[in-house]
Amino acid sequence: MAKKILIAEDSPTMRSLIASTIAALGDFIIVEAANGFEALRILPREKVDLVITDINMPDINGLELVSFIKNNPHYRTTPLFIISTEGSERDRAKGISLGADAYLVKPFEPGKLQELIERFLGKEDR
Amino acid sequence: MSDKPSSQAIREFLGETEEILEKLNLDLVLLGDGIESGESDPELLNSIFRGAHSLKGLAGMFGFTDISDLAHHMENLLDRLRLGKVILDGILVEVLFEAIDLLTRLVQGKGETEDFTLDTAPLLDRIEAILGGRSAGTATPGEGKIPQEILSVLTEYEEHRLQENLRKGRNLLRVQATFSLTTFDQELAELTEALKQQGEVISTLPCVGDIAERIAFQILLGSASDLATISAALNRDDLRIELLSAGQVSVASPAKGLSSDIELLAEPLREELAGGVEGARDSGDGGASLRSISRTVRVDIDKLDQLMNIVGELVLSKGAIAELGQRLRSVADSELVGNLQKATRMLERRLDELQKGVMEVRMVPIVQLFEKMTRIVRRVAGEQGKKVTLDIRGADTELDKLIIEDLSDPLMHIIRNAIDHGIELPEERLANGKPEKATICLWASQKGNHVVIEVSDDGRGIDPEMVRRKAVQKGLVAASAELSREDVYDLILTPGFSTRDEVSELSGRGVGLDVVRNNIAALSGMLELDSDVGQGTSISITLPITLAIIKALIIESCGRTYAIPINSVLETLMLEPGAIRSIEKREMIELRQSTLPLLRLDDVFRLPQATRNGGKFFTVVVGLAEKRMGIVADQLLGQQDVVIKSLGNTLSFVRGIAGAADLGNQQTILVLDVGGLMGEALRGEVISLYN
Repeated sequence: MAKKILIAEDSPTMRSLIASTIAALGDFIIVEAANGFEALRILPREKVDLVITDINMPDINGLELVSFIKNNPHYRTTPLFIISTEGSERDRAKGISLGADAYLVKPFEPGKLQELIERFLGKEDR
Repeated sequence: MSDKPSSQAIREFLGETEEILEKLNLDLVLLGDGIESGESDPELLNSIFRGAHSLKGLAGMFGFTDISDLAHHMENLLDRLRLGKVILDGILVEVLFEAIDLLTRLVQGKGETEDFTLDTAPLLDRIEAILGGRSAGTATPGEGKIPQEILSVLTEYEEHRLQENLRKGRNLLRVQATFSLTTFDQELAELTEALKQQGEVISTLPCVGDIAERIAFQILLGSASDLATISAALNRDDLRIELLSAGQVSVASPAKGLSSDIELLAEPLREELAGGVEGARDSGDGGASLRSISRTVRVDIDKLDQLMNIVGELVLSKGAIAELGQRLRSVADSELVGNLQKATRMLERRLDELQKGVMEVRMVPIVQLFEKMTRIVRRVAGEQGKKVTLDIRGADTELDKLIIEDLSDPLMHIIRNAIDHGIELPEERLANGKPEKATICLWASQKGNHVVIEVSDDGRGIDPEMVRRKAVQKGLVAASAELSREDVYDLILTPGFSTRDEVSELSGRGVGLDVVRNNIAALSGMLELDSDVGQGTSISITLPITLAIIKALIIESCGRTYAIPINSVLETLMLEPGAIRSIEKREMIELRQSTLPLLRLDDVFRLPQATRNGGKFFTVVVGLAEKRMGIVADQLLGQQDVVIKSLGNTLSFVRGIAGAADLGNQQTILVLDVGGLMGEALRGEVISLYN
């Protein structure tokens, strides 16, 4: 069955860029959240296999989302990537120490994101 | 994803960046307003930072390095600002405005061709200079008793806000709440609003919980009030509030005494505010703003136009069907015909709804246009060493998006004109006993199917004598001519008239108010001018709310058919030829104790007079703003919805015609421009527009 990926990102353009990068890789179901709240709402409803989140979001920040996911027994093992515009080194270090599995800097290279997805979700049969 | 972004992606990019830039503009105006008070709202600053941040990220994805570099510099500057490392002042705000200007031009350029670029180096250097030059010192971190679980998820900015609150001696509290998973965003938004009345919400952290249907949040609040006060003000038993760190303001300090007095005074107000939030919750729309973020769809205006055109065509088809139904009835009055008419009426109602719906989508509040004017006032006044406040009212008045777009240039010109010619230098104002700071009012209001925009200033006004001299000098009027107030204003609106000898860098450029008036007329609007010497000038623009579909009165005059927008029609009269009186060679009729000037379309459009009907005739009384006029018609053919199509650029010189419309039976007729005709008629120049 196709794997499900949640993208939490407030920029619609960025969301669709990430989504099309993933779509080029194979058959994935993409669930989009325009903010942290939507992501929180989606998590218990959909069985998500991977979360990709931004850090700067209007309601709750990406770090808080990472902490929520990585401390929650239901989602703890779900891989999580942060894609954020090159920010402060401390935000990046915090993200990793909270348990994010990867940290990509915008503008991200599509190839790198694809490689990470394959590493964490396995190659899709195409 | 391929290496080259698709054109669809570029379009999305353009749409989103334009939206971000618009928002940045609005926010910067607010930020600029805060300079004088020396206070800037952290939330506002953060919103601006996030805007620049998003721009940088987006532009980077498309390889637009000029945009992302500039946005990056802006972001650095804003980051230092929000972290309190750089001081907010006029120069900084100006640089930020320039950066947005440049970004806007870059984004627009990329819309034309992706290779478009501009030299950003000078501005980048200036930003660097600010970054390198001034420093407000770094905030000292002091972690106190903040739990690590909270500290670890704060972004650098949130940490800074935490430190700021501690530095100011505020209490730091943790508010915990649990909500149902289905409604938490609304409930959280309500709680956040209520908490904001008590202090600053630093961070909102979703908590780990094991219950599937509920979710817990911890909210970090910095507040000058103590725990008991906050608990009492919130008055909710579903919250757990604890004090993490007590504020350090000592009891002995006079500042404390003062602030607690204020506290006492502010209390009833607070409760009222909290009550307000409660009320909002009852009506169920407390979380609306939060939801709308992800429920907005951006639509290309061309698509809306297309949709509107289709609706227009449908309305015309409906008209044709209704007419066929009528004719069928006179031939055969069967049950079938009755059913056809019922179905037609149903169709009509649904079409009405559809038309209203599409129309509503096109309507946008005028606020963005007004905010743009704020920037122009700021810049132009600054350049000329004049002090001006812009008083904006009715910014939520809605107009058709296309009208708003076409209104931008004329309005900008009027405002520049007011600052350039109307507003005096501060010394001159003081000498004349006026406040040093001039006021320009920019007011919008809806009046029926029209929107009135008034621009008025308290500057030097228009001196009729100076206008007269200039007009004589330019040979526009005879030296002996007596000029009424209206004549003077008309002169100012005449092409080629300018009271200033030198062309001003600002409003000059060879463009006069006549062009502004024509632009407004092209929108079927009307411009009126009024002025008092020494008191100021006011210009009022009356515009239809929409141009797309209008109800029109179809008339026949001298064998030709015309449409008059029903918006402007006040009443219709049937008159005997004897009712016409002639005053100074102009035809008038008596109407309720006042005279109404008549306008004959055959005069206006120089049609052969032989076709004039000698018997009874109709007069369509039209009015715009305060002015009235009667248009002579031989027949009134009825009301109809018409879609106005522009005559195109090649025919744009034709005055008195707003456009053409299709009547649905392949017959094309001209739609009269009432504002334009009225202007001509009331000036008495109507003998012919085409001499």
